[in-house]
Order: sequence, then structure tokens, then C-alpha cells
Amino acid sequence: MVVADSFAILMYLEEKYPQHPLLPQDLHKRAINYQAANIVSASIQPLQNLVVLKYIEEKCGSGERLAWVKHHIEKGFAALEKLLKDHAGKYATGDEVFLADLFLAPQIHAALKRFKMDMTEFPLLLRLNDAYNELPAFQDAMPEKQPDYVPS
Amino acid sequence: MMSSSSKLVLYSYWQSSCAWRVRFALNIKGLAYEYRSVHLRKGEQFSPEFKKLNPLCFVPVLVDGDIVVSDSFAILLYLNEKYPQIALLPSDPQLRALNLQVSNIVSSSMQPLIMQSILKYIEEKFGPAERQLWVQHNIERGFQALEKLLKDFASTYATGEEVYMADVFLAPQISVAEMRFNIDMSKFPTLNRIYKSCKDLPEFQASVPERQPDAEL
Repeated sequence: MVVADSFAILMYLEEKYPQHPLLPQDLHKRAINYQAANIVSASIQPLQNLVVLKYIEEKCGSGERLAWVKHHIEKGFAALEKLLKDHAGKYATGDEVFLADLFLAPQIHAALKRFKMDMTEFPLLLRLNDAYNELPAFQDAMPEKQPDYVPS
Repeated sequence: MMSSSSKLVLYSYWQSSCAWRVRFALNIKGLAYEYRSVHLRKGEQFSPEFKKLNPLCFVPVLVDGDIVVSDSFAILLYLNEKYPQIALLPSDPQLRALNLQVSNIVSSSMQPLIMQSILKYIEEKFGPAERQLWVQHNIERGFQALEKLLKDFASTYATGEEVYMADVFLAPQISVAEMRFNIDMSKFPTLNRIYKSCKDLPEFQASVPERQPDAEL
């Protein structure tokens, strides 16, 4: 069986390998996870991918490209701060790592490292970022640790 | 369907393809809801009240008692879990994954790049001709991928003989591509066939923009 698309893959893994669930039992908390995941995957990531950024840069230069990226990331991050404010614990939606964290962690990492964003307006996300950086599972998944890593 | 005692409330705009997905899904599941219009062209999505519901200022938003869910993808997964009658996802793992993948291609790789605010930016910066090229490029790229993906799975609907989440995402997107952006759908025969099947459904017909309470015809 072949599964493509990170969301489809995660839901497949969740259903096939139920140990250490990626979603909480409570329906409301599950919905918070789905929303956080989609803020990243539909409202931020598509607008920061290489194809789109290359297009903007070719047409208007790298200044515009950075402004574009910052605008969309900041909009998404502001929404995430509000969404998660009343639900976050040690991680995004409680004290366990769930689906929302899987989408947030790489996105926050990209904002800080790739786009060098100032995230002081997003204290919750910064706190989550610190928590993710303590996790061996997250450290092992970092781009720099992958077999195809090329230093830039 | 439109009673103030209905438990479900849907914030929608008649022309929003994302809200359309949820209208179609609610009809398929036989769930009554109260329709509340957010007039996007008038900027009602930026009102403080609506911003409280969804800080991203997008429709659709579903309110189910105390629970507020934004984003059509999240709303459909929530509805599917809370109201399991008439499932939006098949039980077979491969077809389930395929439905999620198709839904995500539409909701992450296509719609966000062609929504009004982005197109306005493209047109302001680069002009109307570039805007049309951008739209065409992004829609056709997505539809080509979907056509390949579904060629071997589709029969009456996207992944078989029942309507599922993939159809719910596809049908409104195809309609918008054809009607608003003049995309030639004959290049995508599988998608076209799926769309025709959806158009025959009363649940789809009731969900079309022109039949919504806030339609301006």
C-alpha cells in the first residue's frame, strides 16, 4: 500500500498503529488538533513553498518574497496563538504530543531558521518550540539529521 | 432546515467554495443547520464578532453548541466523528487515505493559491493577464494530479459507488474552476465524470451557491 500526503499518511498511521495515539479521545480536542494542522497545511505552508516563493522573487525580487512569507506566516501564527490559548499544556493541546504538534513543530522551526522571523509576538508558539526541541523524536526528525541533508 | 432551534450553525458565504464543501457534506449526512451569512465582499469577515469565531477571518465556521470549528477540512472530520451516520470516509484503509489525499490536494495545493485575497495581490502587483495565467497554472496542475490519481479508482464517484470526502472537495472546486475561471474541464475526463455524478444529487443541488439564502443573482 502506498500513501501520499502528510495528512493522509498521519491518519493512516493513526488507524493502523494505535499505540501512542496521535489524537486525543475528546471530540472537541480532536477538532482543535484538526484546525491547528490545517492552519499550517492550508493557510501557511502552501504560501511559503519554493515554487510560489521563486515566482514572487523572479517577478519582484527577494524583498517582496520575504514580505510575502512573513505576512502569511504571521497571520497563521496569530490565529494559532488564539486557537491554542485555552487548550495548550506542555504541548499544543495538552500534555501529550498530538497531531497539532506534528504540524506546528516543523513550521515554527522553518519560521525561525529558514525565514529568520522575530517570534516575540507569539509567546505560546515559542514555548512550544522549546518543548519540541527537548524531544528526541523531534530532534531525530530534523532536516539536518536526514540521510539526504545538504548543508546550504 | 433553517430553524433557530437547530443545533448546528454554519457561517457561510454563497460563493465560497470552502463553505460549499460543508453545505454539501451536511446535506449528505442529513444534518439540519442554521445558515448565517458572512458577506465577504462587504468585509463582514473582519468584524470583531466574526474575528472572535475565526481569527483567520475565513468562512466556513461551524458552531455546534459550545464547540466552534473553523476550516472545512477540520469541520468535515469533526462532523464525521460526531455524527457518524452516512460516513464521509470509507472503511477500507487505502480508499480512506485516497479520500484524505484528494481532499488535501484541493484544500492545500489548489484553493489557497486561487482565493480572492491572493488573486487580488497577484493582479495588483502583476496585472490581470498574469492573474489569469497564475490561476490557470495552479488549477490545471492540481487537476492533472487528481486526474492521474483517480483514473484507476473512480467509478460513479471519486473513489467508488458512494459519495465521500473526495467528492465533497472536488465538486465545488470543479464548478468554480469552470464557471469562475473558465477552465476547460474536457481535459480532465475522470474529474468531469465525477462532477456530473455529483450534479445529479439533490444534496449537491441544494448546496450550490445560487440556492443559498444570501445569493445575489
